[in-house]
Amino acid sequence: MAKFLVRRFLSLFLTMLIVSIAVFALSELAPGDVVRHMLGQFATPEQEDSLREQLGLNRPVWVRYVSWLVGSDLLWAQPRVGMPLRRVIDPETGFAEWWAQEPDGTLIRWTLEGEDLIAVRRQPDGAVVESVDNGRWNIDTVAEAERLKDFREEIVFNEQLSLEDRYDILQEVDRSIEILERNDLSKEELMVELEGPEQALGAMGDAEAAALRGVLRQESGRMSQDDLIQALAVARQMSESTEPPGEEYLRTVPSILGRAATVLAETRPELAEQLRQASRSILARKLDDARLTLAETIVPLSELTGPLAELAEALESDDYVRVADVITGLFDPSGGTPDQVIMAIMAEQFKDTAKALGDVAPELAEYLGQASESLEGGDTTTAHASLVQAAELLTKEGQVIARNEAVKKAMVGRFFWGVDNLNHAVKWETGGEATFWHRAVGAGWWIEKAGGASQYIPLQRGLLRGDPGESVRTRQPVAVELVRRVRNSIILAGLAFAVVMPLALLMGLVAGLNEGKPVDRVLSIFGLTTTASPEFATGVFLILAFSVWLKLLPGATVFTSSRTIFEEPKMLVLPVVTLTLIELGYVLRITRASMVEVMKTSYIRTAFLKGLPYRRIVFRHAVRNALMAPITVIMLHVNWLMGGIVVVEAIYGFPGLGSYLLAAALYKDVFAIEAGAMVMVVLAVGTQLVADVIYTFLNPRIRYA
Amino acid sequence: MIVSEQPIPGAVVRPSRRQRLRESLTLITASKVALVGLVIVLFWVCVAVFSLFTTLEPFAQDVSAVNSPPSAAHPLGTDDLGRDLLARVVHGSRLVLTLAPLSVLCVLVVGSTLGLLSGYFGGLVDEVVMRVLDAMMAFPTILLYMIILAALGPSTVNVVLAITIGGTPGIARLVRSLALDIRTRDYIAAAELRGEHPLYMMFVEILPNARGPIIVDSMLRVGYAVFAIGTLGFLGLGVPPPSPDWGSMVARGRDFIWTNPWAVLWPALAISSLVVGLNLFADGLREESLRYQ
Repeated sequence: MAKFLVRRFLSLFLTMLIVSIAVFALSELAPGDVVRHMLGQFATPEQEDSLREQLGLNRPVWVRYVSWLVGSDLLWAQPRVGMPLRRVIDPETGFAEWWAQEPDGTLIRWTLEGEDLIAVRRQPDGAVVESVDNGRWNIDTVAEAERLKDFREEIVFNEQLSLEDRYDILQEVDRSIEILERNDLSKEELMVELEGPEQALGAMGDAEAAALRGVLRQESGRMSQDDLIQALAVARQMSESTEPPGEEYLRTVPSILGRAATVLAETRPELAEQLRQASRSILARKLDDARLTLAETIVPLSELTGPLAELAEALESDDYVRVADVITGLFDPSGGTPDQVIMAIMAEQFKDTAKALGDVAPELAEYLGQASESLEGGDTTTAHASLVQAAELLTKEGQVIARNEAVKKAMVGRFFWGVDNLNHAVKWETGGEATFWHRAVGAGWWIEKAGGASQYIPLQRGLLRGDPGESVRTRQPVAVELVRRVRNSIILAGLAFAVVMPLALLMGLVAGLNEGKPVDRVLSIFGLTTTASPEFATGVFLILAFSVWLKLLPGATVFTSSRTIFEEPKMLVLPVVTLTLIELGYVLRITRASMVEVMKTSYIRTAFLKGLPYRRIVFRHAVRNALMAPITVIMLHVNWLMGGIVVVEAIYGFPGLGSYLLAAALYKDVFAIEAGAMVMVVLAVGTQLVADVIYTFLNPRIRYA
Repeated sequence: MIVSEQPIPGAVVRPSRRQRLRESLTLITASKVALVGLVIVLFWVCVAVFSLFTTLEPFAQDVSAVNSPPSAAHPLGTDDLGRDLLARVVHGSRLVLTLAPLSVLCVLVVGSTLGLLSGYFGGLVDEVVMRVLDAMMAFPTILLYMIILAALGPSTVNVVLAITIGGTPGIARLVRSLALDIRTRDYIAAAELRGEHPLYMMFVEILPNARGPIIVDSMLRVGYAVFAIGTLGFLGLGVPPPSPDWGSMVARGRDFIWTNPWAVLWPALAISSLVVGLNLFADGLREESLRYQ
């Protein structure tokens, strides 16, 4: 007996190991991954890589597997940060927060503001105190010296800078290289020595130029999100790509085409109609029709968006000479009559850009604003004049920006491993060539900025230590949500179980006692029909009957809080009935078969021959023996029941484990899938184990074997 | 030379083809349940064949009649994109009646091979194959489907693949137990003495002699495959739109159930009748064949 249990537990453990590896391997296979879901279709590869990095998805598989299983904090993060790491659960929200711990026990983490490292210390009462903490920066002297030598070559030939600027920067770079190559300095001495060239370079920098560059890059991002440019990208993708587009892509396309059609509705009705038609074809999944229609829109769309796309591209690559060229070339009076649509588009773009530039470069903003107003009034000559002035200004600003960028690269790069406020161990870098992608809060897209985190290790304690990670979709700890979902599912399944068992056993006994008679026939066929019929069909029939026609019961479960499940029992009726119908037939058939078998045994015949009353034979002798099989078999049936629960939860929108897993699977929310799958397997294998044990106890032949 | 008309004494008379056909027919017709099931299944097979010749267009949109109830132009009504429900249900039958047997065939090929290997060779091969299959069986099938299809993306091929992976352990165990039994027979020993190749042993000597239970089991499995294809379609993991898959039709219609109950009613009825028919047929067949034994 004990040996048997030990063996079962070992095999359970082995199964779990295989399952965890299998789940992990399968989510690795995913070609369309979660990052694309989060960023949408128009993210650039750099942005995708950055997010993948922040989620830790670019680490080798085995590292991810081990982090997921036993945590990333001890093995990877702690050695780099050099301080013990602690996980603190916020008692109010249930969110997990990671902090590093100083020798005196204070919890600390950091943020980067500009070039300054800010330490955030957590007080015992939960309040936080911030202070500048630049003393922690480290310098990799050898690598930085190498980099600066390369940069030295580069700056000599940088035509965007004046000769004077080049000379000044070179001088400071040479000083830095000399300091870096002295090996006799301690970290503190090195920092003090470097202050000289840093301050000199800092004086050459221009904070306003840096701000201007930031805004202009952001504007370039916004411009490339223009409705027409997006529509053009869709048209190109659809008509030129040989690969069939993915389903998610097709779902986003109609709204993009629709927006573009609205923009063009008045000025270019034929083009707008073509876009609408393509959108309709895509909705009906007639992709070839859509391709043909869209192919025709490419030329007119690229004519309309040409100037804007060029402007966005020039801004993106920091080439302000080209930006000025593009702007000067717009609406040139000698270039023939300008197009109405282009005028409208540019007027709107300039207006937005002027607004964004308002505080940073008021003069430039004013020129652009004037140009925008003139364009709206149809006066291209005045607009052109304003744009020429804006271009001149931009050319001048461009030089300052170029110098500012060069100065930044001339700074000695520093790095620091710490803990950020999003539960990563992070390597921050400033100075040097470090530029990184960040999500611009509120802007909805990602911007590139200098200084920031270059490497991320998502902190987690690991499944075995009770922390399966954070949901990529909701940014909440998987464990918190999972507990609630599992509770709901267990309530649902438990209710169904409580209804099914007495009912099915009773019906099965009745059918078994009347083998071959009409009662048996009716019950058997009823059982077969309800069990065989797919859950979603049964569920839909029930909704049609009880919600749509009779209007007795709600056809969906809408949970407003975690207590709804107890407050609105009416919502549970249809899900429970659906599950009941599915399981009913199965248990009924097994009970019936078992009863039939028992009634044919010799001890029942003996009982009859002894002249015992029928009632006594059935209840005292037959039923007890006949019930053993169904009670254990139903436990083994739990795998099947889980399929039913997933579908039932999907039909009624019931917030249980099944719908959580399904949503996670459709979104490719890796950590949620992995944790949910493990929970499901534990439940399945666990019940099977319990069934085995019960069966062993009930059956003396096995117990004493 | 005189050819003796007399059968050799002691030899089993092999029934002629016609006799065997008649026997199977009586087997089916003896059970009313099986007969009812067969009629339902045949009905859907006819519909599927009919879909090859009909002019009904499952993708054509009638913009003037969106979400409309049954009418003369659309005998079963239309869905939310104005597509004719009759056309979609009819074409859906062909889809499901092609995919389901195809996936069962795949299950049979993979499962029988594993089962034969395991049952015929025994020892280490048996141990390894059975442990892996046990682990797979511990996995809830729905979870297997969700993970496979989430990883590979929903497509027709992947649906067949998922159903194959999900169904293999069952068939493999069945074939293994049959092979273990058959391996002890005299004709196997005779073939082994002849020095036949293990492949010949497995696929020519053992497999044909195990066909009875395998056939009955695969009938049940076709029903289950239809069930699985529908469920996957309903969960959004099945054959991708716009194909007229019954499950995804129900899922799509579910959003419009209050304005247009017809769009869910017909595909739901279609899939339950087909699955119930297949189950009745397989079940009746199994009971009758048990009685004959």
